[in-house]
This record gives sequence, structure tokens and C-alpha cells, in this order.
Amino acid sequence: MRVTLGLGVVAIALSARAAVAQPAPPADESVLGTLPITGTAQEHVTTLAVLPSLSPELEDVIVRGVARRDLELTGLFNVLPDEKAPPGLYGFNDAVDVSAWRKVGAEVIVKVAARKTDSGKIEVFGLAYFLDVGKDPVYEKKLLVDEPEVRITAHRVVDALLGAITGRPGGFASHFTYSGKWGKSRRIFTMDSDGNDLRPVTSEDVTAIAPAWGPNAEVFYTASVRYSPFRLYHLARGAEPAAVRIPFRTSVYGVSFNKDRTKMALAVAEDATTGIYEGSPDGSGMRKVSTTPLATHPVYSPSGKLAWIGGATNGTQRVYVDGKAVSPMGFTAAAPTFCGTDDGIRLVYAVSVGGNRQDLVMSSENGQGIARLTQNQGSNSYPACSPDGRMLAFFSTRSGGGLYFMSLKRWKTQKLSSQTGESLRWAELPPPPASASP
Amino acid sequence: MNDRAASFSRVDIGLAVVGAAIIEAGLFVALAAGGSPAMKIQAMKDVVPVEVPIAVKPVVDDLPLLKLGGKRVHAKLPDMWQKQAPVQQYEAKSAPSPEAKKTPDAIPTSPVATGDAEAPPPDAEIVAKVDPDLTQVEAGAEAATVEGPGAAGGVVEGTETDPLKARAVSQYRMRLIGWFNARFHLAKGAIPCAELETLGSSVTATLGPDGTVAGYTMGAASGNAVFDAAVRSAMDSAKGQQVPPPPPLYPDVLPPALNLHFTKKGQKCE
Repeated sequence: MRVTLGLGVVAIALSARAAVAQPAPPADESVLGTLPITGTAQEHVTTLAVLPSLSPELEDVIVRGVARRDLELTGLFNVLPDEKAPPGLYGFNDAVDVSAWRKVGAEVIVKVAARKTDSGKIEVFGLAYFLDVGKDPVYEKKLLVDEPEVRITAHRVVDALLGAITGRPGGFASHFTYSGKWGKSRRIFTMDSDGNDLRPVTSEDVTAIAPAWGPNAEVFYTASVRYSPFRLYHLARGAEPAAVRIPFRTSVYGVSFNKDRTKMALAVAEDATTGIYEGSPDGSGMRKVSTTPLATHPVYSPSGKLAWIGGATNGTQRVYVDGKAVSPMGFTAAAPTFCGTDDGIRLVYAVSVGGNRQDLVMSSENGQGIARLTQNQGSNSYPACSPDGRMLAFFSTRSGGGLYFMSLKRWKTQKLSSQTGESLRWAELPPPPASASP
Repeated sequence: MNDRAASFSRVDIGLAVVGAAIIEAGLFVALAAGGSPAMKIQAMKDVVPVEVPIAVKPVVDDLPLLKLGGKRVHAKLPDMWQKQAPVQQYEAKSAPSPEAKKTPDAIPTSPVATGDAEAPPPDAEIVAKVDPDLTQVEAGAEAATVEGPGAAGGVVEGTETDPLKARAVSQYRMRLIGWFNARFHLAKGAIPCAELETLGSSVTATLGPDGTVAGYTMGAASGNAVFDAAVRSAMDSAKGQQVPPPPPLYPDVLPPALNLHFTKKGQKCE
């Protein structure tokens, strides 16, 4: 018995010693390897070339122009100017002179082109070359579409190329909706993400506000006729608006959908206050989720959290995320939106800065790490994020006013349109028909 | 015997009896009066103050009354980020100088500047080796020497055959490095440059399913208390925060644990 106990004690002692003398963790065999942390900020901006085209065909000019503009707008690349293109042949079927491009500093080459096929359709394609890989393209995307679809298809090709180059597809094949002033009332407008195809989608004798993109790319909005309560409507492209059956008789002031359009949130008037209700997009299963005396402007984050503007009886307005105030006290916050950026989910909202002006600020999803996006550039309001989280659009009164783009990578701002309004929302277009793939 | 004259007359005796009776009666009356209940000692009652209205005449003071108020603290937004102009790097070079000391120790180790090269500006960043200019990189048009899946620009030890994934992972790796870099701060001059160059500390960060830094374990410490404290401070600030998410097309590249190596080797030291 004593011998057994003694051996046990020795065994425990040895195993304890082995545990203490355990060697350092084995080498990291994950694809990321060991990360060297030096405390020095370093960032490498990829130099990218868009192959020039000598083709006089309109579709080819459109596709190339769209691709170059989109790639520059992202702020992800140092796009080489056309003047730096090495001399050579740039026909539809000509090979890419990889070594000549490498000499001018290109790391990635993008080739986009379009040509008419015998069937009358337009073939749009995009190629990506990584110069450290070789002279063969590493990615190719081809779409066969009708002529009016060429511009949108060019955006789709760029989105696919961005996915190939960065691992995150782009968000240029997308569209806006917003509420804008029209005479004495307000109408709902839609517009493609490049500023084209602007059109009012509601009647001018109806006051329509707070639009949002719902399931099947339908526009949901609330509207009032001759001072009646605001009702919720949905509108498919080319169809008549139809009322959504909801269990509320009072006014509805706002609507929002989650990422996969399976949940709908509404801001509903109740006596002298408003509350946020959540349910299905068909209006069923509505239950109150807001916890503040006043609650408006619901919006979902990509992770499924619900934010709204919560007001107290003393007049303050703060951003609430899942019932918790996340915007700083003392600032009147408005119009929150979420961006699923490369660095994680970010909350962007407008704050009043005095003089009837607003500025945009950005923070993490829980309100930490607040940073200012605009300053001393007019009033900036109603931010909306691109589907890929790389771009921010907002209305600004600067330079005559209009709709502006901001790259969340380079913080560069560019005017997109001279249109102004409220309640800007940005969502991806529905996928192309299966017949588009050749 | 009967003829003896009496000492007190009958009148004297009568007067004495009457006097004694009066005295006894007076004493009785005095005793009766002293034992009466009306003479009991009673507890003293509290004196209830009586409100007496008085007339008040206000007198105007020479000093004005202070107004209620104070300084309101206005919350202030942070300033917008401004892009800084890139700092041009200059390679460390030495040039002949009549003021140089004539001792072996004063001989510079950097290469001698050629010809009439201009001196760099006073605020220029002097480095041992300037980052190569990508536009000057010569094309390495070499044919592939290894046959099989992979890229001509790959390395023998490489494991990834998908160039798209390799690029996305490389960019994601740089993003993670940048995320941790932003948290690693070492005060200038806290450690002599010569010693700092030799220090390094390994850390394993464990991540939650959503990319939150759940904890960390220090592996091989540098042995320098200041350096290791800076590493611990960096990891403490990362704890509970989410690292940048992996590229949506490759969501599986983020492992449950990240191996980090903190070092200042090769970095600019002041």
C-alpha cells in the first residue's frame, strides 16, 4: 500500500513538472502564420491598371468608363492613369504584356470589355491579372445581356473583380431610394448607385416618406393622402402601390428590413409617442421592441441588431442599439445606419452641431471609438452605406448641395448627384437573370 | 389643712384652661391645614411659547442679489481626420566634413555620398535602406522551374495554390497586423535602441467564434519589464474587442487562435 502511494506521488510530481516544463506552443500552421507586431502603422496600397481600349464601340466605352470610375471610387487602389500605359496592342483579343505593365508599377491588371454578339446581345467580360502570379488571368467573368443592361452589367463585373482581388465582392450593382421634396409634398425617388436612372415612384398628390428596400427589391414607404394617417405601402417596379396589412390604425413613420429581409421594423405612432415594432415583412407577428418613450428611424445592422433614435421627455435624442444608448450624451443624434466594413461593423449617424447643421460621425457597433467624418463642409445628413460597406453616401449642403459619396478607406468625398432629400437607403440590385451567364 | 390658702384662684385656673384649649385648637388647625391634599407638590409643566405677531419692515440692501447660473459644459465632437502628407525617406549617407574628429570612432559606417549630392532636409526621415520604388522593380520574366499546381511567382514552401485566396489572405493578414499594431505603444527612449533591437515577445491570442479576443497567453517573454508591460497593455486593450472580420469569400481563414510576435527589430528608434 505504501509503495503504491509513493509511486503515485512520484508520478503526480513528474507529470506536474512536465506540465511546467511544457515547451512553447507549436508553430502556427494556419494560413495566417505568425503575425509580426511592431507598433508601426504600415499600409500598402495596391497599384492597379485598367487596360485602355481603342475600341470605338459605345458598349465598350461605357463598360470601361464604369469600371475605371468604380475602381477609383473604392479608394482601395492606386489606379494608374491611362498616360502610363505602355505602348502596345489593346484589341479585344490581344494578349496583355505583363512585363511591360510590371515596369510601370502595376501589381494588378484589370481588363474589361464589351462587344456585340451575332445574337444582338452584348457580351461583357472582365479579367484580372496578378503580376506576381504570371501572365495568365487569375479570374474571368463573362455576362451576356441586352443593350440597356450594359451599364449595370459593367457594375456587376466590377463587383465580381473586386471579390476576386480582395475577397470581398463590390457593391456597385446597387440602387438608392430616398424621399425628396416635390412642390408642397414629398415623393419617393429611386436611382442607381452611379446616379443614373433617377425616377419618382410615387404619385405627386401623395405625401410619401421614409422609404426602404424590402424583399424582392420592392420599395416600402409610408404615405398620407390629404392629411390622413401615414400608411405602409410596398411597390414593385412597374406595378401599382399596394397597402401592407399591419395591425395599426395610427400613423407609421418609418420602416426597415434586416439583411436577409426576413424581419421588418416599423415606427408606429401611439397616443402622443412613437414605438418600434418588429415582425414579418407581411406585417404579421408585430411586437413592440423599443424601450424609450419616443422611438423612430429603425434600422438593422448586418449582425441583426436593431437600432433606433430614442427620445426622452426632456427632448434629448440618442441612438439606441438593442435598447442601449450608444451615441454620446449631449448631442442630438439622427438617421443611424450601419456599414459592414473591412474592419468590422461600424455605426454612422448624424449629430447636430449648431447653426442648423449636422455632421456625420462613425463609431463601432456599440458606440465606442467615435470619429468624425465631416467638418466645416455644410450640413451633412442621412448617411447610407453601400452593400459592401466600402462607401458611404449622404446628403450635403456643401457646394450647392447634393448626394455625395465617401470612401470609407481613403475618406475622399465626391459629388454623385445634385439631388437632395431625406431617409436615404442603399441596397444591392437583385441578381442578374440566369440567362445572363453565357 | 383646709384653711391653707389656694395658690391659684379659680379665675387663674379658668384662664389657664382656656388658653391651653386655644393653643391646642390652633395646633390642631395648623396640623389639619398642613396635611391637606391641596398642598401636594405637582410636576412642572412645559411652558408653551405663544406666537406673537410682529411687524417686519424690509430694508433694501445695497448689494444686488446673485443670479442663479453657471458655466455649461458643452460636449465636443472630435476633429475630423486629416490626411498627412507622406514623409519622404532618405538613405543615411556620410559626407566629408572639415569639422569631423580625427579619431577611428568618428569614422561613419554609412556609405559615402557621391559627388555633390544635396543634404536631406532637416526634418527628413533618415533610414538605413529606403523602401524600394515599385515602379523601378525590374520585371522578373523567369520561367517556372517547378511543374504542377501553383504560380510562377510562388515559393517552394508555399501551400496555397489558389492565387485569389492567397491574395485575399495576404491582405487580411496585413489588416490583422495593423489592428494589433495600433495597440502596441512603447514610450520613446524607454528602452535603449541597441537593447530594443534585440527584444521580442510571443503571444497567443484566443478568439471567440465572432472574432472577439477572448484572452491571451504570453509565450516567450522578452525579459525586459518595460517591453513586456507594453505587450501586456496592447493585449489587454485588445481583449473583448473584435478583430477585423475575414474576407466574406473566405470566412474560414480566421483560426481560433492567433500567434503574435511583438518586436521592434528593424524599426526606426529615437
